[in-house]
Amino acid sequence: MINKTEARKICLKALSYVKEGQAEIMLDQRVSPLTRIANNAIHQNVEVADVSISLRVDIGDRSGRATTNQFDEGSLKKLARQAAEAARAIGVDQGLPTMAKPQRYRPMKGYSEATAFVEPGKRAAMVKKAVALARRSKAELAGLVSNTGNVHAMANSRGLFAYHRQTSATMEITARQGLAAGRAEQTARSIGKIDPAKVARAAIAKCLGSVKPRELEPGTYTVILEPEAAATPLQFMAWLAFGAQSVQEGTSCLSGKIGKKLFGPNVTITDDAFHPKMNWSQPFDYEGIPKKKVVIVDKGVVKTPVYDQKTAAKEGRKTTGHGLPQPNTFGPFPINLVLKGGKTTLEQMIKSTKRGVLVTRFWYNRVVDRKVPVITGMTRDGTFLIENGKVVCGVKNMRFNQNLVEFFNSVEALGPAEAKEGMVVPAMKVRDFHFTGRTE
Amino acid sequence: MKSFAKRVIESLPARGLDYADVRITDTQAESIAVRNGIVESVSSARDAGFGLRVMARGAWGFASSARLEASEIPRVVKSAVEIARASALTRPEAVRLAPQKPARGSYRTAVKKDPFAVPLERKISLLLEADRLMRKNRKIKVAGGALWFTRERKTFASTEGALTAQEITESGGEISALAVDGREVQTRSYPNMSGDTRQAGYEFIEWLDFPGNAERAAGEAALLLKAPPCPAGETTIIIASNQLALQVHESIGHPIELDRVFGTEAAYAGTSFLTLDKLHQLRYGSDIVNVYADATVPGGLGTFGWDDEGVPAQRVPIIDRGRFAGYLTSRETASKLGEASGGAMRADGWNRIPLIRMTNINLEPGSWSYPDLIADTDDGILFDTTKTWSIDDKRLNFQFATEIAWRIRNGKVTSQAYKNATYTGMTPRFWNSCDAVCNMKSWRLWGIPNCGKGQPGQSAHVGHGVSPARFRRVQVGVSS
Repeated sequence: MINKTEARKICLKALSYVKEGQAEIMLDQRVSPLTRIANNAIHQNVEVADVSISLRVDIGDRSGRATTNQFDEGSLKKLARQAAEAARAIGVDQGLPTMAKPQRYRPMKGYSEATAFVEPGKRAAMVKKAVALARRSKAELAGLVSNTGNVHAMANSRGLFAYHRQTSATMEITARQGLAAGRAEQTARSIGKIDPAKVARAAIAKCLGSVKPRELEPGTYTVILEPEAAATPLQFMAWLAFGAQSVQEGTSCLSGKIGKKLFGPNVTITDDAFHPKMNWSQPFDYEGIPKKKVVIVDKGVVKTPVYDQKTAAKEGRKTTGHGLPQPNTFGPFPINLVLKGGKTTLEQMIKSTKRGVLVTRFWYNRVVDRKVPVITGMTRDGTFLIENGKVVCGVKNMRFNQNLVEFFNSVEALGPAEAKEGMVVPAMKVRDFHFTGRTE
Repeated sequence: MKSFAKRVIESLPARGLDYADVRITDTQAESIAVRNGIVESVSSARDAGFGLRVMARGAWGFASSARLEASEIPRVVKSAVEIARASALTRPEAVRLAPQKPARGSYRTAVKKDPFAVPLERKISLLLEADRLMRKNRKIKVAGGALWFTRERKTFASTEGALTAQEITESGGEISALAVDGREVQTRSYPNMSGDTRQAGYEFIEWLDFPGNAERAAGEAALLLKAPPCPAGETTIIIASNQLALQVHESIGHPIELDRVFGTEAAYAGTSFLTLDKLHQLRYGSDIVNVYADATVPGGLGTFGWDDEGVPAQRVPIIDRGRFAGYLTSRETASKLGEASGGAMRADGWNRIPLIRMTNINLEPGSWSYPDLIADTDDGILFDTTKTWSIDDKRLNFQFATEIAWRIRNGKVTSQAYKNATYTGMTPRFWNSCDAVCNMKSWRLWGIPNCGKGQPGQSAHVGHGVSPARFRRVQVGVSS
């Protein structure tokens, strides 16, 4: 991967071609080879790597951007010319935030050289181990093993330079037998921590537990959401409600609710890039501002959304370090959400449930009503009926339509939080969840 | 590009490979976005590189590089071959490819006005004018618009002797108005949510006429703030072409992908209810439902000279008078059916392998004029402009929402608008409830430039030609 010295050199070289105004450069390197499985065989095995730079040039209060993955002198000169031409073509001021001065960043670990570069044979061996278990159970596996190395660096003409590199490895397995499917996955900063047999066994057990699934009538149920399923409502709150722009424009359910109780008392949500369980994060945002821990909801009471420089300036406050590349239409975004967990295990949640549905994950989730907000989606890869404290059978996948404010007011129990979907999320037991349809 | 492609093919080891192909792509893009009178972004991008796909010991390997230099070729070749050999470790049977005559030639989008030659200032002022017109309405809290243009130059060569060059240019855009009033937030977009994109030049943007549609969009967004929700129940619905395009995409386009049927997307995009036993047997829709996968129709985002395996563009029957008639195929999957490839392998740039993707999945025009269809409908709801969509992993249970719906009463579209309009159903039952499809006069080709599939993720550019159609006894007004 590109080291700090090399990154600085590339950034400064790209900046040197800018002849007018202020400039900011972002360098991104991603190496993410991936081995994909289906029907107990590798059907796709790819090496994916790319490096790109994105140059922002501000001339007065007007900003242009150009991006390339070509690094020869001609391409870099063209990049500077295109970004400046774009800025000059803008006939009206943009109200741009000032480019950041040099900053100090809190050190963040998360890079493993052994994970950035993995021989294809090693990923194939992990697949082989999982497939051997599946064959014994007469199940078929689909899924992937991948390792990712990422470098993100930025510099600007005010002297700022920021650099971070990180790695991640993932194994995702869906076991299938007839109509039944079960999924398990594991993500870690280091590929050595991935246990292919454990992931495969969990997926196979779920699959075999949902053979001959029963049809369940749509209606209101208590649900137990495993962490991957519990990540879905949180993701939608991030997109729809937790950024300051949506609050300022009145499209967020947090608008007008700052300081007021919106969720149940057992719901505390923070954005914390430095959380020890976070498996994908960086210490600075896309404006080069250090990331701060932000308590968004504390025991059900709305505290604050996250800010970038532009939305913070509107309220005369400081950014929280949640900016996306500027300028943009989306506003600030909380990338590293943490839903505070509890002490109830998944087994305890099941045992305490008279009748309910256990959900492995949701799929094809979309917004139905942005302000409330209401979302819809389907269950997938392991949905089970719970009766009298026991999982009794698999059920055919169900469609839900759910008001998320009601959802976060109906949380009965929380498990220990774990890393899922780029966030840290616990399993949840939630009453009055709305299933509105089912499928075959 | 052609000489580089030949050089890659000539650099392959003389023995031990069953097959190989190389694609070189060089893509330029430009995008502009405005929001509330401010130009929020003007950007350009270039992305270039080459990808090498090899088959060794009956298994695939793929490697790529952004460095279009002769010195990079040996590393990429070595990596692709090593990966193929690793893949062979768990390959129970060797991959077979359906025979294909090596392709030769070139293809280029017909462009009247080169979008990259139109001055940025002109594009920006078009969006700002539409933005200004939308914000004349006091209920509009956020007005915005965007334009985007891409040009991909692509060369393909294979060890079988194929050598093709293609240049594909696309132009697209959108405007939208967001109205906010206390507890209510409603949006109207034109010409659709996420706009429309066509394989064409700037003439397409001019044809869309954003300023001419801005005030109507804003007015309808404001109207929705006071509109009642779509009533719940079973009713007759007419679906406008912008939404019907997505209905075709999700409930026909995806389930006909043969790789899904064979399970290779089982862990991600999903499988399909269209198992092999249903081919030529399943009554997919009513007798008036005819669908083709047509990579030859001018202007479609799924139009090309050859797919990314060098298979020429074709018009493949998918649904013939209601009966399921065919899949989207690759050389590998077609060989399992004993057929030739239907030419649907497409890759998202140089560092992705081709997957089975939609071309232009088109619903053939029917016999009804649009005014006659409305006049023939006593009571129903017209669904207009995509808002959200969700469908299960076998592509059966769906729920769609449109930005606006209108009450149809006694053969007329009334002024009664509904907000949060949803309809839901099961795919074959839904298409069998279709009793009218409008004619060529209201048939339009829509472009979807962001169809996701595959791991690592790929975004395909696909097209759907449709005209409005009527469906009976559909469940509407689903709520939480």
